[in-house]
Amino acid sequence: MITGDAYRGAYLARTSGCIACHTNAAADGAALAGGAPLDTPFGTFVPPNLTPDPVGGIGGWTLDQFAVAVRQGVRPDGKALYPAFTYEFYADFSDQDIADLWAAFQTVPPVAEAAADHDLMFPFNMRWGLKLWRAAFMSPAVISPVFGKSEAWNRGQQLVTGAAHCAACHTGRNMLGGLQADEALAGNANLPGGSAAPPILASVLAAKGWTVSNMAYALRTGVMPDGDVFGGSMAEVVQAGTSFLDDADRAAIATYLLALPAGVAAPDIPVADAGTPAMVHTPGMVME
Amino acid sequence: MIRNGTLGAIALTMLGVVAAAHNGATGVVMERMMGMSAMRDVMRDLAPMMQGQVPFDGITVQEAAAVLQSHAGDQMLALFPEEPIPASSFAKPELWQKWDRFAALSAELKLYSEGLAVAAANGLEAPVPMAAPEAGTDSMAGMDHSTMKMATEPEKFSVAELMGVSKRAAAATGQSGELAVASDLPAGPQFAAMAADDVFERISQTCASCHSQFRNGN
Repeated sequence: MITGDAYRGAYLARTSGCIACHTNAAADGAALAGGAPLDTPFGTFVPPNLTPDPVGGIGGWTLDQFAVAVRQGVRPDGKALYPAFTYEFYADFSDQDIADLWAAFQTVPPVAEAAADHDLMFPFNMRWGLKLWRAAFMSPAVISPVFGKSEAWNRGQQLVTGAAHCAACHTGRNMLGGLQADEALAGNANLPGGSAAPPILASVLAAKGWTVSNMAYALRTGVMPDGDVFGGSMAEVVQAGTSFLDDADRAAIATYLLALPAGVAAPDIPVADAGTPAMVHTPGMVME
Repeated sequence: MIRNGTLGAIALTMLGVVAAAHNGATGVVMERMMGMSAMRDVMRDLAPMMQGQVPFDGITVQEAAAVLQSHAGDQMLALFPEEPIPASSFAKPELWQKWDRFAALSAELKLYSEGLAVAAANGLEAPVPMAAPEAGTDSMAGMDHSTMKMATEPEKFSVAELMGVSKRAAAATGQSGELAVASDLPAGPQFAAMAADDVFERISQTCASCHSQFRNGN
């Protein structure tokens, strides 16, 4: 039995957006007691109560059931969760990560009231249809450290393609909500609520004046290189997410994003080369 | 050639339409866009200074703070009369539905802008209060080491703060910018004990908080 570390779990929960999505901060809702409704073309999703209450929340779950829900998107009753819950990005969480998250979730005061049900249109309200969706579109994150890339790049890869799930908004989706791998991080004009996420490909970011340094700063404060301050859902991402991260993690996210070759979703797994120093600074990384 | 010319003319016309859509703001919408742009430029100029990338200049910071003040508080509210929102505006109608919240954020911006002018004198380091050396002891031994340590310790959030159970402490750099009532606002004199970049970050968080609720798009 792995012992979870509540601090590590809380940091990971914050990074992964658990708190941002499952807490209705605008309505002064209790932590993890259920999030603000999310309007999508398929209907309205309501992020459920994840507090340890056995009735209203997930207090009746076991650690194993929690692991399956987080990494595979399947509920304890065997039914699939909607991909509005971004479990695809959490697929590569380690057993230790899951135990840490579980320990952190136990620290939250239980709230007995369950969140409202989703309000989805036919046929999206037929949960069995998700089995087809999973077969056709599910793309669980697989994250491997890349030899020859810097520690910051590798940490950035882990955060961007995993926990921080940048692609959930910045990658286009098909008509059924499946992520379009060939458009990875190329922007999404159809976000829930009618907003848009710009492309965050390295070439585009560099052309707009982003550097590792000013992006790390923006992820902390919201201030962009042109002096404007993030609005829309990115302001929420910063406020409820990246502003809680360590400086090193914000710099890692920026390092990875600014080094990503345009239009390439994930780096090729390189051939190991004993002659390559482990700390290679990649193009786009600003040396200070 | 004629065909190319026609296509060119159509293309130019379309460009003109796009430009007009962006520049179509008039009256009060135009006024507030200009105000927001002035604040954006100030933030752009100050951000590198607040990160220590260019030398800190207290006078520049004070001038910038004055620009922010001139567009915050009641001055900002006066530019948002309740009216149908034209296509050229980024404002969301929620602004009028939650007017108290918008007004509180606008007041917060004003207060922090005033605070920035005060903290500008401190540069990027909060002044470290030093206890007077006790008589007959070594002066180093008499210093308040706990206060000194606080200035350099990396900030870390508690489990309760990370999980959203408790709000972030106002002392932490990542202050929430979600102060909704005047009584939550720190008293003015505290700014004299703050680093300029800490106050600047509070301003940015106030901007972000307002933009996330009341502005369309990025």
